[in-house]
Amino acid sequence: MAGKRPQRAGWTRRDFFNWVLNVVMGIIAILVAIPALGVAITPAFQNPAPTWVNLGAATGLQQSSVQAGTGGVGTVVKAPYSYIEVDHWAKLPAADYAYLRYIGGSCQFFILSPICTHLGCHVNWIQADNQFHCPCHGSVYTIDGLNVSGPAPLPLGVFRWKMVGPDVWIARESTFTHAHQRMVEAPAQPCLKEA
Amino acid sequence: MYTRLVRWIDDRLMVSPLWRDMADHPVPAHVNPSERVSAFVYCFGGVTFLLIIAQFITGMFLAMYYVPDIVNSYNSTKYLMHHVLFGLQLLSMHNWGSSLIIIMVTLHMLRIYWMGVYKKPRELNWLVGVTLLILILAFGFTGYLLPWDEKAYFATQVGVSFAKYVPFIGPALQKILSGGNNIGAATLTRFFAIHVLFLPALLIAFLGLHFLMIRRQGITGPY
Ligand code: FES
Repeated sequence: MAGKRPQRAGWTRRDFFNWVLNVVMGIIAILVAIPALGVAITPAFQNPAPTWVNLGAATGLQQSSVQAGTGGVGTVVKAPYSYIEVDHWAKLPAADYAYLRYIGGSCQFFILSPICTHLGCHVNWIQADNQFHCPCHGSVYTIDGLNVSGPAPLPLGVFRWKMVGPDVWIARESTFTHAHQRMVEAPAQPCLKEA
Repeated sequence: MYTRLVRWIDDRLMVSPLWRDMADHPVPAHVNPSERVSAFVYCFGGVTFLLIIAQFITGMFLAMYYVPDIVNSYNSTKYLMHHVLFGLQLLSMHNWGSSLIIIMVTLHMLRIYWMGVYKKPRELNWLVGVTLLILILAFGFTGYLLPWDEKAYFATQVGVSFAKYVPFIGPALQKILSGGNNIGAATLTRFFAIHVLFLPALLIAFLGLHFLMIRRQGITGPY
Protein backbone atom coordinates (compact mmCIF):
# COMPACT_ATOMS: atom_id res chain seq x y z
CA MET A 1 0.00 0.00 0.00
CA ALA A 2 2.70 2.43 0.97
CA GLY A 3 4.35 1.88 -2.39
CA LYS A 4 1.30 3.28 -4.16
CA ARG A 5 2.11 6.82 -3.18
CA PRO A 6 5.60 7.46 -4.52
CA GLN A 7 4.98 11.17 -4.96
CA ARG A 8 4.99 11.49 -1.16
CA ALA A 9 8.70 10.82 -1.20
CA GLY A 10 9.29 13.95 -3.26
CA TRP A 11 7.18 16.13 -0.97
CA THR A 12 9.89 18.33 0.50
CA ARG A 13 9.71 21.06 3.07
CA ARG A 14 10.13 23.53 0.23
CA ASP A 15 7.20 22.01 -1.67
CA PHE A 16 5.09 22.24 1.46
CA PHE A 17 5.80 25.93 1.97
CA ASN A 18 5.18 26.58 -1.71
CA TRP A 19 1.84 24.85 -1.40
CA VAL A 20 0.90 26.82 1.73
CA LEU A 21 1.90 30.03 0.00
CA ASN A 22 -0.23 29.24 -3.05
CA VAL A 23 -3.24 28.31 -0.94
CA VAL A 24 -3.01 31.47 1.14
CA MET A 25 -2.59 33.65 -1.93
CA GLY A 26 -5.51 31.85 -3.56
CA ILE A 27 -7.74 32.53 -0.57
CA ILE A 28 -6.77 36.21 -0.58
CA ALA A 29 -7.48 36.42 -4.31
CA ILE A 30 -10.91 34.83 -3.83
CA LEU A 31 -11.74 37.17 -0.96
CA VAL A 32 -10.97 40.16 -3.16
CA ALA A 33 -12.69 38.68 -6.21
CA ILE A 34 -16.04 37.90 -4.57
CA PRO A 35 -17.12 41.45 -3.72
CA ALA A 36 -15.51 42.82 -6.88
CA LEU A 37 -17.45 40.46 -9.14
CA GLY A 38 -20.59 40.93 -7.06
CA VAL A 39 -20.48 44.64 -7.74
CA ALA A 40 -19.87 44.06 -11.45
CA ILE A 41 -22.74 41.63 -11.98
CA THR A 42 -25.33 43.33 -9.75
CA PRO A 43 -27.29 44.82 -12.70
CA ALA A 44 -28.26 41.29 -13.81
CA PHE A 45 -30.20 40.82 -10.57
CA GLN A 46 -31.82 44.22 -10.32
CA ASN A 47 -35.46 44.66 -11.21
CA PRO A 48 -36.44 48.21 -10.47
CA ALA A 49 -40.00 48.78 -9.33
CA PRO A 50 -42.20 50.74 -11.75
CA THR A 51 -42.59 54.48 -11.26
CA TRP A 52 -46.22 55.50 -10.91
CA VAL A 53 -46.90 58.82 -12.62
CA ASN A 54 -50.01 61.00 -12.77
CA LEU A 55 -51.58 61.57 -16.19
CA GLY A 56 -54.24 63.95 -14.88
CA ALA A 57 -57.99 63.85 -14.19
CA ALA A 58 -59.85 60.94 -15.79
CA THR A 59 -62.74 63.18 -16.88
CA GLY A 60 -60.43 65.53 -18.76
CA LEU A 61 -58.60 62.68 -20.47
CA GLN A 62 -61.89 61.05 -21.48
CA GLN A 63 -63.16 64.34 -22.89
CA SER A 64 -60.08 65.03 -24.98
CA SER A 65 -60.10 61.49 -26.39
CA VAL A 66 -63.75 61.66 -27.33
CA GLN A 67 -63.41 65.16 -28.78
CA ALA A 68 -60.52 64.09 -31.01
CA GLY A 69 -62.52 61.13 -32.29
CA THR A 70 -65.71 61.10 -34.27
CA GLY A 71 -69.29 60.24 -33.33
CA GLY A 72 -68.62 59.93 -29.61
CA VAL A 73 -65.96 57.23 -30.08
CA GLY A 74 -62.66 58.08 -28.47
CA THR A 75 -59.44 58.06 -30.41
CA VAL A 76 -55.76 58.23 -29.58
CA VAL A 77 -54.49 61.38 -27.90
CA LYS A 78 -51.15 62.34 -26.47
CA ALA A 79 -51.19 62.39 -22.68
CA PRO A 80 -48.07 64.24 -21.53
CA TYR A 81 -46.77 63.83 -18.02
CA SER A 82 -43.79 64.86 -15.98
CA TYR A 83 -42.18 62.98 -13.14
CA ILE A 84 -39.02 62.53 -11.15
CA GLU A 85 -36.93 59.87 -12.79
CA VAL A 86 -34.98 57.75 -10.33
CA ASP A 87 -31.97 56.47 -12.25
CA HIS A 88 -29.90 54.49 -9.75
CA TRP A 89 -28.48 57.24 -7.54
CA ALA A 90 -29.59 60.13 -9.73
CA LYS A 91 -32.99 61.78 -9.42
CA LEU A 92 -33.90 64.03 -12.32
CA PRO A 93 -37.06 65.79 -13.40
CA ALA A 94 -38.17 64.20 -16.66
CA ALA A 95 -41.10 64.40 -19.05
CA ASP A 96 -42.61 62.03 -21.59
CA TYR A 97 -46.05 61.17 -22.92
CA ALA A 98 -48.33 58.20 -23.34
CA TYR A 99 -50.89 57.49 -26.08
CA LEU A 100 -54.25 57.31 -24.40
CA ARG A 101 -57.59 56.25 -25.84
CA TYR A 102 -60.98 56.21 -24.19
CA ILE A 103 -62.52 52.82 -24.99
CA GLY A 104 -65.48 52.88 -22.60
CA GLY A 105 -66.82 49.72 -21.01
CA SER A 106 -65.36 48.48 -17.77
CA CYS A 107 -61.80 49.09 -18.84
CA GLN A 108 -62.33 52.77 -19.80
CA PHE A 109 -58.79 53.61 -20.93
CA PHE A 110 -56.29 51.91 -23.16
CA ILE A 111 -52.89 53.48 -22.66
CA LEU A 112 -49.98 52.73 -24.99
CA SER A 113 -46.30 53.39 -24.60
CA PRO A 114 -44.96 55.53 -27.48
CA ILE A 115 -41.67 53.61 -27.55
CA CYS A 116 -41.10 51.71 -30.79
CA THR A 117 -40.20 48.09 -30.08
CA HIS A 118 -37.61 48.09 -32.84
CA LEU A 119 -34.91 50.42 -31.53
CA GLY A 120 -36.76 52.71 -29.18
CA CYS A 121 -37.81 55.83 -31.12
CA HIS A 122 -41.04 57.59 -30.17
CA VAL A 123 -43.78 56.67 -32.66
CA ASN A 124 -46.19 59.27 -34.11
CA TRP A 125 -49.96 58.90 -34.11
CA ILE A 126 -51.30 59.53 -37.64
CA GLN A 127 -55.00 60.25 -37.24
CA ALA A 128 -55.67 60.14 -41.02
CA ASP A 129 -54.34 56.54 -41.32
CA ASN A 130 -55.58 55.44 -37.91
CA GLN A 131 -52.05 54.11 -37.34
CA PHE A 132 -48.85 54.76 -35.45
CA HIS A 133 -45.82 55.41 -37.67
CA CYS A 134 -42.27 55.24 -36.44
CA PRO A 135 -40.13 58.04 -37.91
CA CYS A 136 -36.89 56.08 -37.57
CA HIS A 137 -37.24 52.96 -39.74
CA GLY A 138 -40.85 53.04 -40.75
CA SER A 139 -42.52 50.55 -38.43
CA VAL A 140 -46.32 50.74 -38.49
CA TYR A 141 -48.69 49.83 -35.67
CA THR A 142 -52.48 49.64 -35.58
CA ILE A 143 -54.57 51.78 -33.26
CA ASP A 144 -54.29 48.90 -30.77
CA GLY A 145 -50.51 49.03 -31.02
CA LEU A 146 -50.12 45.79 -32.97
CA ASN A 147 -47.09 45.83 -35.24
CA VAL A 148 -48.24 45.40 -38.83
CA SER A 149 -45.24 46.33 -40.93
CA GLY A 150 -41.65 47.44 -40.70
CA PRO A 151 -38.90 46.04 -38.51
CA ALA A 152 -40.73 46.23 -35.17
CA PRO A 153 -40.68 42.74 -33.60
CA LEU A 154 -43.35 43.30 -30.93
CA PRO A 155 -46.54 45.30 -30.39
CA LEU A 156 -46.31 48.60 -28.54
CA GLY A 157 -46.20 48.22 -24.77
CA VAL A 158 -49.34 48.79 -22.73
CA PHE A 159 -49.25 50.73 -19.49
CA ARG A 160 -50.71 49.24 -16.36
CA TRP A 161 -52.81 51.96 -14.83
CA LYS A 162 -55.05 52.73 -11.86
CA MET A 163 -57.31 55.41 -10.50
CA VAL A 164 -56.02 57.49 -7.62
CA GLY A 165 -58.92 59.67 -6.56
CA PRO A 166 -60.07 61.41 -9.75
CA ASP A 167 -56.72 60.94 -11.50
CA VAL A 168 -55.29 58.32 -13.83
CA TRP A 169 -51.87 57.00 -12.83
CA ILE A 170 -49.71 54.81 -15.08
CA ALA A 171 -46.85 52.49 -14.19
CA ARG A 172 -43.70 53.46 -16.05
CA GLU A 173 -41.47 50.46 -16.45
CA SER A 174 -38.41 49.78 -18.56
CA THR A 175 -39.21 49.74 -22.29
CA PHE A 176 -38.16 46.14 -22.29
CA THR A 177 -40.71 45.15 -19.62
CA HIS A 178 -43.48 47.06 -21.39
CA ALA A 179 -42.99 45.36 -24.71
CA HIS A 180 -42.77 41.87 -23.26
CA GLN A 181 -45.79 42.30 -21.05
CA ARG A 182 -47.95 41.94 -24.05
CA MET A 183 -48.11 38.31 -25.04
CA VAL A 184 -48.77 37.29 -28.61
CA GLU A 185 -52.03 35.61 -27.56
CA ALA A 186 -53.21 38.58 -25.49
CA PRO A 187 -56.29 40.43 -26.75
CA ALA A 188 -55.72 43.47 -28.93
CA GLN A 189 -56.71 45.69 -26.04
CA PRO A 190 -55.53 44.02 -22.83
CA CYS A 191 -57.13 45.72 -19.86
CA LEU A 192 -54.30 46.43 -17.50
CA LYS A 193 -56.36 48.45 -15.07
CA GLU A 194 -55.51 47.81 -11.47
CA ALA A 195 -57.98 48.06 -8.64
CA MET B 1 -2.82 21.09 -20.59
CA TYR B 2 -1.27 23.83 -18.53
CA THR B 3 2.27 22.65 -19.23
CA ARG B 4 1.49 22.46 -22.94
CA LEU B 5 0.19 26.01 -22.93
CA VAL B 6 3.31 27.19 -21.10
CA ARG B 7 5.48 25.31 -23.59
CA TRP B 8 3.58 26.83 -26.51
CA ILE B 9 4.19 30.32 -25.20
CA ASP B 10 7.80 29.58 -24.29
CA ASP B 11 8.50 28.31 -27.81
CA ARG B 12 7.65 31.78 -28.99
CA LEU B 13 8.49 34.20 -26.21
CA MET B 14 10.60 32.36 -23.63
CA VAL B 15 8.88 33.86 -20.62
CA SER B 16 9.45 30.98 -18.20
CA PRO B 17 13.08 31.91 -17.50
CA LEU B 18 12.00 35.44 -16.63
CA TRP B 19 9.37 34.15 -14.27
CA ARG B 20 11.71 31.53 -12.76
CA ASP B 21 14.27 34.26 -12.24
CA MET B 22 11.74 36.17 -10.14
CA ALA B 23 9.99 33.31 -8.38
CA ASP B 24 13.06 31.19 -7.61
CA HIS B 25 15.31 34.06 -6.68
CA PRO B 26 16.97 32.95 -3.44
CA VAL B 27 16.79 35.19 -0.41
CA PRO B 28 19.32 35.04 2.42
CA ALA B 29 18.40 32.72 5.30
CA HIS B 30 18.18 35.58 7.77
CA VAL B 31 15.16 37.09 5.96
CA ASN B 32 13.27 33.78 5.79
CA PRO B 33 10.59 33.57 8.50
CA SER B 34 10.56 29.78 8.21
CA GLU B 35 14.17 29.79 9.36
CA ARG B 36 13.74 32.35 12.07
CA VAL B 37 10.30 33.66 13.00
CA SER B 38 11.56 37.13 13.85
CA ALA B 39 12.40 37.53 10.17
CA PHE B 40 8.75 38.47 9.60
CA VAL B 41 9.87 42.09 9.87
CA TYR B 42 11.27 41.66 6.36
CA CYS B 43 7.75 41.04 5.05
CA PHE B 44 6.28 44.48 5.67
CA GLY B 45 7.25 45.79 2.25
CA GLY B 46 5.85 42.75 0.47
CA VAL B 47 2.62 42.94 2.44
CA THR B 48 2.31 46.60 1.46
CA PHE B 49 2.69 45.60 -2.18
CA LEU B 50 -0.03 42.92 -1.85
CA LEU B 51 -2.33 45.48 -0.27
CA ILE B 52 -1.60 47.91 -3.09
CA ILE B 53 -2.68 45.27 -5.62
CA ALA B 54 -5.89 44.74 -3.64
CA GLN B 55 -6.47 48.52 -3.64
CA PHE B 56 -6.07 48.63 -7.42
CA ILE B 57 -8.62 45.87 -7.90
CA THR B 58 -11.21 47.12 -5.41
CA GLY B 59 -10.75 50.66 -6.67
CA MET B 60 -11.40 49.71 -10.30
CA PHE B 61 -14.66 48.05 -9.35
CA LEU B 62 -15.71 50.93 -7.10
CA ALA B 63 -15.32 53.25 -10.08
CA MET B 64 -18.15 51.34 -11.78
CA TYR B 65 -20.55 53.12 -9.47
CA TYR B 66 -18.79 56.23 -8.25
CA VAL B 67 -19.39 59.64 -9.85
CA PRO B 68 -16.97 62.50 -9.10
CA ASP B 69 -19.56 65.24 -9.00
CA ILE B 70 -20.85 67.24 -6.05
CA VAL B 71 -24.47 66.39 -6.80
CA ASN B 72 -24.01 62.68 -7.29
CA SER B 73 -20.87 61.51 -5.52
CA TYR B 74 -22.52 61.21 -2.11
CA ASN B 75 -25.62 59.58 -3.57
CA SER B 76 -23.70 57.20 -5.79
CA THR B 77 -21.58 56.12 -2.83
CA LYS B 78 -24.71 55.58 -0.76
CA TYR B 79 -26.30 53.66 -3.62
CA LEU B 80 -23.23 51.43 -3.86
CA MET B 81 -23.39 50.77 -0.12
CA HIS B 82 -27.07 49.92 0.07
CA HIS B 83 -28.23 48.61 -3.28
CA VAL B 84 -25.28 46.82 -4.85
CA LEU B 85 -24.37 43.21 -4.12
CA PHE B 86 -21.29 43.27 -1.83
CA GLY B 87 -20.96 47.00 -2.52
CA LEU B 88 -20.52 47.83 1.15
CA GLN B 89 -17.92 45.06 1.53
CA LEU B 90 -15.98 46.32 -1.47
CA LEU B 91 -16.02 49.89 -0.21
CA SER B 92 -14.95 48.73 3.25
CA MET B 93 -12.09 46.71 1.83
CA HIS B 94 -10.82 49.76 -0.03
CA ASN B 95 -11.30 51.90 3.06
CA TRP B 96 -9.62 49.52 5.53
CA GLY B 97 -6.98 48.61 2.97
CA SER B 98 -5.88 52.23 2.78
CA SER B 99 -5.35 52.39 6.55
CA LEU B 100 -3.55 49.04 6.54
CA ILE B 101 -1.20 50.23 3.81
CA ILE B 102 -0.25 53.27 5.81
CA ILE B 103 0.40 51.08 8.86
CA MET B 104 2.44 48.53 6.89
CA VAL B 105 4.42 51.14 5.03
CA THR B 106 5.25 52.87 8.30
CA LEU B 107 6.44 49.57 9.81
CA HIS B 108 8.44 48.94 6.64
CA MET B 109 10.10 52.32 6.93
CA LEU B 110 10.81 51.81 10.63
CA ARG B 111 12.50 48.50 9.84
CA ILE B 112 14.65 50.16 7.19
CA TYR B 113 15.52 52.99 9.53
CA TRP B 114 16.18 50.70 12.52
CA MET B 115 18.52 48.47 10.57
CA GLY B 116 20.25 51.36 8.85
CA VAL B 117 19.43 50.01 5.42
CA TYR B 118 19.35 53.51 3.94
CA LYS B 119 23.16 53.77 4.19
CA LYS B 120 25.51 53.49 1.23
CA PRO B 121 24.95 52.02 -1.36
CA ARG B 122 21.16 52.17 -0.88
CA GLU B 123 20.59 55.93 -0.50
CA LEU B 124 18.78 56.19 -3.82
CA ASN B 125 16.36 53.46 -2.92
CA TRP B 126 15.67 55.23 0.37
CA LEU B 127 14.78 58.34 -1.63
CA VAL B 128 12.50 56.31 -3.89
CA GLY B 129 10.94 54.78 -0.79
CA VAL B 130 10.25 58.15 0.78
CA THR B 131 8.69 59.26 -2.51
CA LEU B 132 6.46 56.18 -2.37
CA LEU B 133 5.48 57.08 1.19
CA ILE B 134 4.47 60.55 0.05
CA LEU B 135 2.50 59.09 -2.88
CA ILE B 136 0.66 56.74 -0.53
CA LEU B 137 -0.20 59.55 1.86
CA ALA B 138 -1.45 61.56 -1.13
CA PHE B 139 -3.62 58.59 -2.09
CA GLY B 140 -5.13 58.61 1.38
CA PHE B 141 -5.68 62.36 1.39
CA THR B 142 -7.30 62.57 -2.05
CA GLY B 143 -9.39 59.43 -1.54
CA TYR B 144 -10.78 60.76 1.71
CA LEU B 145 -12.66 63.55 -0.06
CA LEU B 146 -14.35 61.39 -2.67
CA PRO B 147 -17.50 60.26 -0.79
CA TRP B 148 -18.24 63.98 -0.34
CA ASP B 149 -19.76 63.60 3.12
CA GLU B 150 -19.33 66.03 6.02
CA LYS B 151 -16.22 64.36 7.37
CA ALA B 152 -14.60 64.27 3.94
CA TYR B 153 -15.45 67.90 3.23
CA PHE B 154 -14.09 69.33 6.45
CA ALA B 155 -11.04 67.08 6.57
CA THR B 156 -10.13 68.36 3.13
CA GLN B 157 -10.86 71.92 4.21
CA VAL B 158 -8.30 71.47 6.99
CA GLY B 159 -5.80 69.64 4.80
CA VAL B 160 -5.92 72.20 2.03
CA SER B 161 -5.58 75.03 4.55
CA PHE B 162 -2.17 73.67 5.57
CA ALA B 163 -0.92 74.71 2.16
CA LYS B 164 -1.62 78.34 3.05
CA TYR B 165 1.35 78.40 5.44
CA VAL B 166 3.93 77.54 2.81
CA PRO B 167 6.14 80.66 2.54
CA PHE B 168 5.49 82.98 -0.42
CA ILE B 169 3.50 80.61 -2.61
CA GLY B 170 1.10 79.45 0.12
CA PRO B 171 -2.12 81.17 -1.00
CA ALA B 172 -1.53 80.27 -4.64
CA LEU B 173 -0.76 76.66 -3.69
CA GLN B 174 -3.97 76.46 -1.68
CA LYS B 175 -5.96 77.67 -4.67
CA ILE B 176 -4.26 75.22 -7.00
CA LEU B 177 -4.92 72.34 -4.62
CA SER B 178 -8.58 73.15 -4.16
CA GLY B 179 -9.11 74.20 -7.76
CA GLY B 180 -10.65 77.51 -6.72
CA ASN B 181 -11.30 79.79 -3.80
CA ASN B 182 -12.98 77.14 -1.72
CA ILE B 183 -13.64 73.42 -1.58
CA GLY B 184 -16.20 72.66 -4.27
CA ALA B 185 -16.96 70.97 -7.55
CA ALA B 186 -13.49 71.66 -8.97
CA THR B 187 -11.80 70.25 -5.85
CA LEU B 188 -13.69 67.02 -6.19
CA THR B 189 -12.88 66.44 -9.87
CA ARG B 190 -9.27 67.44 -9.23
CA PHE B 191 -8.88 65.05 -6.31
CA PHE B 192 -10.60 62.30 -8.27
CA ALA B 193 -8.27 62.70 -11.22
CA ILE B 194 -5.24 62.74 -8.92
CA HIS B 195 -6.50 59.72 -6.98
CA VAL B 196 -7.35 57.44 -9.92
CA LEU B 197 -5.04 58.61 -12.73
CA PHE B 198 -1.98 60.59 -11.66
CA LEU B 199 -1.08 58.79 -8.44
CA PRO B 200 -1.48 55.23 -9.76
CA ALA B 201 0.77 56.05 -12.72
CA LEU B 202 3.43 57.54 -10.45
CA LEU B 203 3.07 54.72 -7.94
CA ILE B 204 3.63 52.04 -10.57
CA ALA B 205 6.70 53.86 -11.91
CA PHE B 206 8.28 54.30 -8.49
CA LEU B 207 7.41 50.77 -7.35
CA GLY B 208 9.18 49.51 -10.47
CA LEU B 209 12.28 51.52 -9.55
CA HIS B 210 12.06 50.34 -5.94
CA PHE B 211 12.00 46.67 -6.96
CA LEU B 212 14.68 47.01 -9.64
CA MET B 213 17.00 48.58 -7.10
CA ILE B 214 16.33 45.82 -4.57
CA ARG B 215 17.17 43.22 -7.20
CA ARG B 216 20.34 45.05 -8.20
CA GLN B 217 21.57 45.63 -4.64
CA GLY B 218 20.18 42.63 -2.80
CA ILE B 219 18.82 42.49 0.72
CA THR B 220 21.12 43.82 3.44
CA GLY B 221 22.87 41.40 5.72
CA PRO B 222 22.04 41.16 9.40
CA TYR B 223 23.45 43.94 11.49
S1 FES C 1 -37.01 52.47 -34.03
FE1 FES C 1 -39.00 52.43 -34.83
S2 FES C 1 -38.70 51.45 -36.68
FE2 FES C 1 -36.71 51.42 -35.89
